[in-house]
Amino acid sequence: MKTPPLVISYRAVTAAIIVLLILMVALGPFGIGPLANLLDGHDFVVNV
Amino acid sequence: MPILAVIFYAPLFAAILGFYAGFGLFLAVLGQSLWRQPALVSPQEYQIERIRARPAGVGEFPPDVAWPNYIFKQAGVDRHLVRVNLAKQYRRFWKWPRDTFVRGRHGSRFWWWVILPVSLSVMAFMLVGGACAWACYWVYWAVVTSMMTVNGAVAGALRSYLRTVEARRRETRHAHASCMNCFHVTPWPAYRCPRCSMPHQDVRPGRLGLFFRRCECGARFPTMASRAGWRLTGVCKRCGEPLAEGAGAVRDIRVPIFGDTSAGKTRFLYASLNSVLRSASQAGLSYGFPDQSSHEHADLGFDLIRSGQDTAKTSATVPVSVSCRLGTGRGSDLIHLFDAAGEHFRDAQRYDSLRFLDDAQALVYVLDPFSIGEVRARLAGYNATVIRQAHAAAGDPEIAYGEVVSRLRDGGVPAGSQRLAIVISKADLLHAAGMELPSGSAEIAEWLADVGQHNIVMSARREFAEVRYFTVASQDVAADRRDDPGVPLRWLLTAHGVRLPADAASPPQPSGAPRHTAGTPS
Repeated sequence: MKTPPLVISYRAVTAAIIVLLILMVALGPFGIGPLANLLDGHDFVVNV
Repeated sequence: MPILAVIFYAPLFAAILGFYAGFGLFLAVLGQSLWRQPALVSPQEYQIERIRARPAGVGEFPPDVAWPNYIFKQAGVDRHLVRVNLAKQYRRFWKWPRDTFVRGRHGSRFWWWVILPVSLSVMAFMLVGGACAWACYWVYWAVVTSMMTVNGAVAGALRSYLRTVEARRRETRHAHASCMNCFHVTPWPAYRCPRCSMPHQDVRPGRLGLFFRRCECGARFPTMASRAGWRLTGVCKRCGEPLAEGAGAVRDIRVPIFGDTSAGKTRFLYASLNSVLRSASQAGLSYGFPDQSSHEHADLGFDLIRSGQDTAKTSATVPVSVSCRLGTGRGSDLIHLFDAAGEHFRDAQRYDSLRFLDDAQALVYVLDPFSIGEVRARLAGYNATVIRQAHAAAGDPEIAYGEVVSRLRDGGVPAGSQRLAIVISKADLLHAAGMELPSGSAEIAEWLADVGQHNIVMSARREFAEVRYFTVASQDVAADRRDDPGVPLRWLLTAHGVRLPADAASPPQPSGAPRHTAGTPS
């Protein structure tokens, strides 16, 4: 049975929100995103 | 010292790797659960679930088979599947460390604990990776749950609002849909899917869609009768017959005509419709007949009126209905006139065939003056030929009237919900026989009481929201148009919001059939 377009859209939006949140955290150590501000000045920040 | 550094930094490095691996694990699980191997709630499954939650009562239809809104069902299923898959994958990742360090299936556990940095690194990787993946899941849970809550609340509010607006529109516009096959009237009819023809019994905004609904077959169509009526074919919920285009969306006025046998009901039906359609046509308002049967009946009736011939006696088996559409498109009005043989109104056994009386907004009672004993007595000795021509109704006028009123009130139809036009037919013949009828409504009521019909006058005032009296002639209409058969119908229709042009200035021409300005009937 073919998935209705609205279900695909909802899933895509949900996944996009999650990926965005994950990237905001995951890129923190590289100095990108809101987490970078929290990590700024600490030794374990990777300078790229 | 270097050993201590290795013991400290190796697990730390593994933990950082685990941090990113946790993200990767969660994203992989998300992709698996939402795209690669999703669990899709089918319309049938959702219908079964809804029926289990609330079984359809007597006279109710089960929920329609259509795709539910994502937030009401599929979102919860997706969320559950992500959790199950994440737990399964994480358990799978733990298999090797558990077998190795705990169960000792890959050599002695002692030696593994001797090379502590390796063991610690693996454990750190697994623990941090798991914590990160589960943290991602809980973020996902929070996003989906808040979306379900917020969207659910917004959808609930919108649903109530749209339903209220639609219900109000239905009441103010009299937009109930009526079936001319079984005379069933419903606030919102069923509509056939444009692709698979499956009937959808309830297209109101709800769990299956607020503004649009997607049928099981994939076809998308609007919700609400006011919009679906123009895109889909409406069908009667009782007999399944197709309804007129726009059924449930346009004004729908039902006017039964009742009276005794030979009172002139059929003649009044065609003569009044003829008059109304002619004035509409003169004003440039288009009209048409929504079904072939109405078209044929109207053509035949108009021909009889035009040629001055007598109308045939109505079949005593099936009541006749003539439907007409005034105007075009969304602003049009559907008008249904019902005519049943007089025998139906005398026989309590035939009540079922008079269902159309219950849902009518207005009624016309046709009273043959020649059936009134006092009138006959006053005319005795006058023009006997004319009296013979009148084919006077044999029964007492009060019987047919009383039967209909009893049926309505016994059936629970509230007294204030319907208007009644009492029509004294054959005014031209009465005039030819030498008796003049008064012209105003109050004067006609007075005249009726004077000739012994005060019971009808008294009862009508009590039983209906508004009553007016008219005299009509189907052939020789008086110059001042007081006997125009279109006047009673025009009053009833305009009282229910039908926009009709003002009466044409020219005197009526009952001998001319109205001219079609709309296309051919569909």
